[in-house]
Amino acid sequence: MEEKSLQSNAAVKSRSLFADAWRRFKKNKMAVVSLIFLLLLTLVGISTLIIDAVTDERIYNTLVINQDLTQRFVPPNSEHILGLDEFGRDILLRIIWGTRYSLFMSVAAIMAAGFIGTMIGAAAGYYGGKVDNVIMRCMDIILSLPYMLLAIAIVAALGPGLVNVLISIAIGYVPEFARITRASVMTIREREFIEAARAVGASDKKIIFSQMLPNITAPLIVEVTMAIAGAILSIAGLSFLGLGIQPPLPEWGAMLTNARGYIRDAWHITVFPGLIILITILALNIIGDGLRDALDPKLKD
Amino acid sequence: MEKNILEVKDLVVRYETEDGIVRAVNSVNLSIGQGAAVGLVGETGAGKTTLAKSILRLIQWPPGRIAEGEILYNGLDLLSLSEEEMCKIRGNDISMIFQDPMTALNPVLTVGKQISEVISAHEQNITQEEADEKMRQILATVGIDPKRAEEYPHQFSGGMKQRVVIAIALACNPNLLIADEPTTALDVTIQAQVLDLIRQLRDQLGTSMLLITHDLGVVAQNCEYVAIMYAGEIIEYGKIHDVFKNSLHPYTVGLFESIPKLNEEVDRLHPIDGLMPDPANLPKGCKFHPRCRYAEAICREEEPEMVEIEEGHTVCCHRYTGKCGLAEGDKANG
Repeated sequence: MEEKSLQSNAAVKSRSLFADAWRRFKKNKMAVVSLIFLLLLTLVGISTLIIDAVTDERIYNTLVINQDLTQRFVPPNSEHILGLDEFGRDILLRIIWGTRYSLFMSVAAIMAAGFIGTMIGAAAGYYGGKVDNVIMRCMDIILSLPYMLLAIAIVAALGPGLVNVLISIAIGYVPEFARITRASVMTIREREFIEAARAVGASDKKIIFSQMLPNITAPLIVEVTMAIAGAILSIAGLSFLGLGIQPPLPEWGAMLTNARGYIRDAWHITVFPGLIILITILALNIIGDGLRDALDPKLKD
Repeated sequence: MEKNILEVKDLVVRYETEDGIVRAVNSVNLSIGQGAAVGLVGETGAGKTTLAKSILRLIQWPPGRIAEGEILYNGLDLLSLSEEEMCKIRGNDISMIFQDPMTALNPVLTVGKQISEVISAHEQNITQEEADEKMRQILATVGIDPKRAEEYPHQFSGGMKQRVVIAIALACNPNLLIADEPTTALDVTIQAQVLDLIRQLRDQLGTSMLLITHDLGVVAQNCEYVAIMYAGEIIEYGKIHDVFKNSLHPYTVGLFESIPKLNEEVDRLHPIDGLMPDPANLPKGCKFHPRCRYAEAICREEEPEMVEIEEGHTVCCHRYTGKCGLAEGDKANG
């Protein structure tokens, strides 16, 4: 009898932290618009990969890479919405094909950095003491170098190229994730449910992965979105300096640096790549802010 | 005598802080028989929780350390085990219910997940479905609709959360259950429900229990033996009936005098004067002597030893060691 009365509210639908956060996120119009933009960009980026695979890179070779010097600096018109660049290539197509370098590469770099940083930070925060000291001092050393300088140094040492850029970006972001994870883990470490988990026989590994990490996903997700924005900038920056993606690959930063000599004659070839970088980073930052508010409503105001 | 599943011998636990050494548990001897329930009673700060945690080896170093003693579980010295072996004992053989169900559950995992995790942690060859199935059975056993397994701790009331905590503790049918003030955070009606539940489950599973509480009434209802703890020592131990009817140690007597009785007209209760000594700075001799109304010179100098007064009823006081002049006459009156 007693059990029945205790169960009467079982019909209330349960909502996880993320379902709850999504509900709050949806109220933030700017963030939703940014998210839609980013999803579209991702979709476009993925479809270029598919198109390349299906057509054996024919479109890529003929329209994105192939130069047509009779068509240089054609301003935006109905055929080429964003105009043609200094080698007569369609800027819109180049931007679209460039998504894979800017967006996908930075996502990959941040995922790698996030994974390594989280593991390192969790170990430091959980074990504390000497482990913590050694790990965090190493992180401090990396942090003490200006981020861009570090990336430049790594690329300069390894040589320019896709993978090396990825590595240099990832290394720069590891300490960031390590610090955030460590701080969050330290706040949870002393909570009673961790001790309770230990009391029923959970090993350290199990406690870190199944008890602690779910508790710190919120700050990590926010950090990931922000870091992706930073990584896009860094990739563009490295390419701008000639250390990143090499021409003729259509990377946004590389497009900027190639176009900057012609800025007085043909405004459109610098403005559009610059704009797409700006909008993408803005969108990521707005999403990051929106996620932070949504995941931790206490922080707002 | 029945077999003891847990024997604690001369256990000493210290917290070595910057401000000095805190002697939380001093030479405690305690044994728990198979299927028996022992109540551990004492004031806040008497070292009850420290004792419980040291049985599971959950004392954090730094600052805590088990300095001396043995903890034998079925003859196996838990203090000599590796951390990995200890992980297998925890939850599987010895399990613990925590004081505050509000904080003992992970807020971001569903309760079902938290229970099935214990099961899959201890039973190697179990599939996720089997673990889930078992989790549902356990939820039903503690009186929670298995449909609620997908809910989060914040959607449960305090009493229901404590049921979940009990379900987690009992998920692997432990031999020994350590309940650290399982009802302190709950209101009285829920207390009764939870205690009933623990009793029922113990009857079903034959689990032994160490029940920590400061409520003598709870002990009387749930335990067969009781140990009174003061300043890190067990000062009186015996069968419930013996200790309750024939309290020997002045502290135990004082505890009973500070409980209102239904069958007696009393204007004022008689609390024990004074406070527990600071465990970082314990008095010499008997730890209780500054508050004891029978204290004599010897109490200030020499630590009393455990003496057995009647079968299974031991006390740690100079009045019963024969070293104290007043003792015999007083005992006859008492």
